[in-house]
Amino acid sequence: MTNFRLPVRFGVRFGVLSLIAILTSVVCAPVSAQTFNLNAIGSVVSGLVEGARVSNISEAEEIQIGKEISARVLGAAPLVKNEAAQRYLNRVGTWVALHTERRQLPWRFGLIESPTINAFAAPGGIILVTRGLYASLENEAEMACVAAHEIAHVNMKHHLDLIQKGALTQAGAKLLEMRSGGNEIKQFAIGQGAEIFTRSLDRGAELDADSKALVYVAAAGYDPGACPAVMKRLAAMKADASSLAMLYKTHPAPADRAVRMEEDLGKLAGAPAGSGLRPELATKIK
Amino acid sequence: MLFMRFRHLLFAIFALASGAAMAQNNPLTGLLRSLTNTVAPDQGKAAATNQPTSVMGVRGLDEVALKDATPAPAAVVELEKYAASAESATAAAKQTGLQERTVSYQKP
Repeated sequence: MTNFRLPVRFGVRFGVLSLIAILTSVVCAPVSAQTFNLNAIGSVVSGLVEGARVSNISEAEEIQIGKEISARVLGAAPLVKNEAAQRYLNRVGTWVALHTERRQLPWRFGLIESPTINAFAAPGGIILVTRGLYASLENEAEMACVAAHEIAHVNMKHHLDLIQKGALTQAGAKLLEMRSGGNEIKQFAIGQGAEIFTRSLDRGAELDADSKALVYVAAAGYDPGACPAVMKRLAAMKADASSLAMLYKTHPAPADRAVRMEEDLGKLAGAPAGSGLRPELATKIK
Repeated sequence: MLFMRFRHLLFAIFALASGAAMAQNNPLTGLLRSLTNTVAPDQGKAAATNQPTSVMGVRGLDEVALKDATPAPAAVVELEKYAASAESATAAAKQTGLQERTVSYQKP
């Protein structure tokens, strides 16, 4: 009898302790984890995210989100005090934008103080180009290429999609939609600020922007061959150069982009190789 | 009896350790955290800052600078001052000699 009772009591205790172990694993784990992987949520709610993204943000809201995010970038890197260069960049950028699908957006281009080589496309049509990138350009067609790539991101709503996807993934798509009809998603998007530009779009989005940029540049009368020329020059710089670090982090390698662009150039109808202009820069900066 | 209590202690330690380990990749704990964030926004912010990031070390405009930047709404207003109208952009392009073209990708 004694020999029989001991396993039963042990079994009960083992069962209780097992239950405690399971509950501890589930309940205490989130509290004890110091590093939290948001991707874990993504796998759970990813099915809910699809179909609930950009479509519920109006153009006016997109523009407002873009202004908020741009304000953050401009807080980190102010506008260059060179009115001639600012106006020149706006004339070229706007001319290119007029040859795109969303020509009606209030396109604004800003030259910002930073030695890094980069450009930022905020939703709604605000494009910010660093002094480092501007100074590396050899002609106006190359400036058009830079503007066109960023315009393509805006037109395809790449960053808007990224921040909205992040908002939905973090908070749970259905919960937010049910609670606020999407308003909290927009607030989250604005709250993301300039940090959005430190994240990578997927490789396909960058290459799509490059492909569209060639069409925009050629349609505006420039030589689209200037676009791979910019990439080749960047590729010739050291990849670990501090001025290129973020560009390499957030974009495919310039050499790969140049190859892809040259392949696309051969497929362009209406812009034979070597056609279009590469005007000299009207305003140069150092 | 003493042996049994020692076994219980080992089991409890295992439970706590496994709980912490599961938090790294467990979708269920992730979902629980997301629910917590929805109810308690401050905790949501804390979770957001725990996203994997890399240190850039870029001089002037790096990841940290962008993340911690204080908004400069006045600079956004200043952008308006430099904006080009469609008319002025077109006039400048014509003066440069740029000619509009209809361009598209050939269908394969």
